[in-house]
Amino acid sequence: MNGNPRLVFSDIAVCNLKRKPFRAGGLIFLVALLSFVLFGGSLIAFSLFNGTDGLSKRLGADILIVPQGYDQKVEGILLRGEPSAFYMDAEWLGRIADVEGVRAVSPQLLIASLNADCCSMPIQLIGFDRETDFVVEPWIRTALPGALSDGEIVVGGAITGKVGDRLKFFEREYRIAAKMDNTGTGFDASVFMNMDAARRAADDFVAMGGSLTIPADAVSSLIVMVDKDYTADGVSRRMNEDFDYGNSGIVVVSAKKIVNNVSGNLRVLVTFVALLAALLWVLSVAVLAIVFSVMLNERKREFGILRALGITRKRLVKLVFLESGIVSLVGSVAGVFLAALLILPFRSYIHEAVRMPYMQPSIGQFILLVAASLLLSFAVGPLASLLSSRRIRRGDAYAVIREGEL
Amino acid sequence: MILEARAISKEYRRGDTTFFAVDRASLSIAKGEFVCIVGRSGSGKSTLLSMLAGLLTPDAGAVLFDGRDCALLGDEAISRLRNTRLGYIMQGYSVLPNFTVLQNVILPHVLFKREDDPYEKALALLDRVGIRPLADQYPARLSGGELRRVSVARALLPSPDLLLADEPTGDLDAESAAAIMRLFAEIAAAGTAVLMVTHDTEATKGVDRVLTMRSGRLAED
Amino acid sequence: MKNRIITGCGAILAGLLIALGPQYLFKLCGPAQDGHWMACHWTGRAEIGVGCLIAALGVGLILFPAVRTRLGLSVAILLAGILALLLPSILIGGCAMETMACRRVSFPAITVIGTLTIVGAALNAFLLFRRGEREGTRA
Repeated sequence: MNGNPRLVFSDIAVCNLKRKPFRAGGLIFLVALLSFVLFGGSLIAFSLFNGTDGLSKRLGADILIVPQGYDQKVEGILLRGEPSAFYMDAEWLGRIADVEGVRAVSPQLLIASLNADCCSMPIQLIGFDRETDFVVEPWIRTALPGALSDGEIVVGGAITGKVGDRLKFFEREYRIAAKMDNTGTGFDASVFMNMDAARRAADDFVAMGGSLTIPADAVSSLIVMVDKDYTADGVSRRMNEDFDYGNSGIVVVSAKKIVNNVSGNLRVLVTFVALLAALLWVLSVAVLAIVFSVMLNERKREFGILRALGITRKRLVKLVFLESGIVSLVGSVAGVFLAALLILPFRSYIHEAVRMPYMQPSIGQFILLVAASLLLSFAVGPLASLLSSRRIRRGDAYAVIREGEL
Repeated sequence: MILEARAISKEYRRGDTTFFAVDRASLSIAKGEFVCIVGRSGSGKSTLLSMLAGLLTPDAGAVLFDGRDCALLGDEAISRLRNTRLGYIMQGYSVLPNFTVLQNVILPHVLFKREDDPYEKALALLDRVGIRPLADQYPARLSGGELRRVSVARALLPSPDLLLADEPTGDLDAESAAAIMRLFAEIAAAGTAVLMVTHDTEATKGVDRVLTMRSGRLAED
Repeated sequence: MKNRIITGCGAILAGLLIALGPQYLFKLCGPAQDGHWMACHWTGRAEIGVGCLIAALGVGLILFPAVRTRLGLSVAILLAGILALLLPSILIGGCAMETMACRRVSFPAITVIGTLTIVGAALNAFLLFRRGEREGTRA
């Protein structure tokens, strides 16, 4: 069984492509590669931007204070949710609060859970003080107007389970009282509880045979908000001066510097991806234009026959655009589909691999990205056949009589 | 007169010299007339036929189809004329390789929008030229004679007023050639004007009128 | 014949990947510290069944030449592919954290293979359906 006998005009283009499957397949592959890189690259870049955005929004603190030697760990906690535990004396709370320009200070207690009922990998438990906290609080206030009791937890968006579910840490069950939205930052994989509950959890851990010594009254870190008339840089400099930088046992970390570092890295990456995509785009247009142009010479006789059968120049041009349009449409859709299929499900894997905040775009942004990528890669086909169409309009693209005939 | 040529010429350049492929050729064909132009290869027959079909524009003179000057018609109008009222059988094989035999025959039908379904008519034409069993085959599997018959069936699909045929019996065996000539005679008898060019003087039997072409000049025999 | 081998081998490959991938290639999470298995383990077990079913249907695609039979097999593969996607997402599920091995690698891999299986089976079914229709009317 060959071909559909009930032919319509567009079938001419379809038949021409079908009977040259390797040529058509090669061109489709090229366009698919282009749209794959275009869409995949922009999807990842967008997710990284979203992540950085989420980080600077979620990171309500201007300055972080951690024990000396742990400043590198802070980045791991914030960006990647790598569980850590470190401790310093709680008396620093009062000393920091007295520094000029400090508007608010709040302590946090970090415990790395070595196992939980759900998971065989560590989770970051964060104890926070609901009275003074200004980082977690704004995000859960609407979901949880009342107090957070000792048996209740707030979980990040990457942890499965809904409000009301129970999770077990160190043989003790906790009820999920609120769940935060995904941000693409390390907070997504964290579990928040009140200070007393966190201390009790640490005791549970020791009771289970874990090696963890939390000095009484210790905290892990202090988060600092600077008064709006003061700069974070200035205040951290003052802290370093006041507390004898290098010998005090604490380190002052500028939160802004972390965000700036991340967005700096991001800019380099995005520039690279954009350059690659632009290069590939130009290359695709060029290759397709050359192939179409060569094909045109090969097809002089075919076009001459169609002219003899009464096709108008306009419809001949339309036929050429139709063929290139089908090629680039199929290629674009296949490329975008494959990129989405490979990138969307593997988001945690990519997040871990890039070691930066990573958050996939919302549905609206996603649709916009798909549309833009489809449009850009689809344009390649028709653009590449512009040259051919000009030759057809001029009339030198089809042979009316064969060479040597008179 | 369905077709009239008034002193049409076409100049070609070969190297530094220009020469007339067709030199002030005039002819006219009435409905139902079967005319044959005989000439050696290189005498300008194909160029003449291309001008008569409106595919080439003459450098001088005029081609009138059904009383209308083709030079004055736009691309759309002249294409429609070719598509609906003219059957043109090109020299050599003019069957498109990417389509089946049946699709090839139906092809002219889809180049302009039409309401009717060409399917039955195309099958009947394939029957008439004796290759209906090959309807679903691709041209690569057909012999030279069969390919020529596909072109003939395709040219007849629009029920043209004028059939132009460029060497339709060239490189065919005697039997196939005779079959095609018989078919042309039948078509002419049914009212379609037939103009064919050939270098084969044998093929002119049973033709109403024979013209001779020599170095671009056309003369009545 | 060539089409039958290509489509059949595709289905067999996809089925084997769905069945064995989570066990050997893109491994699921191990047992928790107290030794009990988490949900992803049981999802993996169920995928062995679904994957083998898809592979067996793929063998059928190669063995049976009749268009209608292959159309039915393609639809069955399509449905089994949907089941392969539903097991980790809705029916059984996996670990609680997105960063766990099963949700980071195993389930995404199943999603990719399962989706490709569904798209391929749908395409094959569509082509076979059209072919059946054409041969039906023109026989």
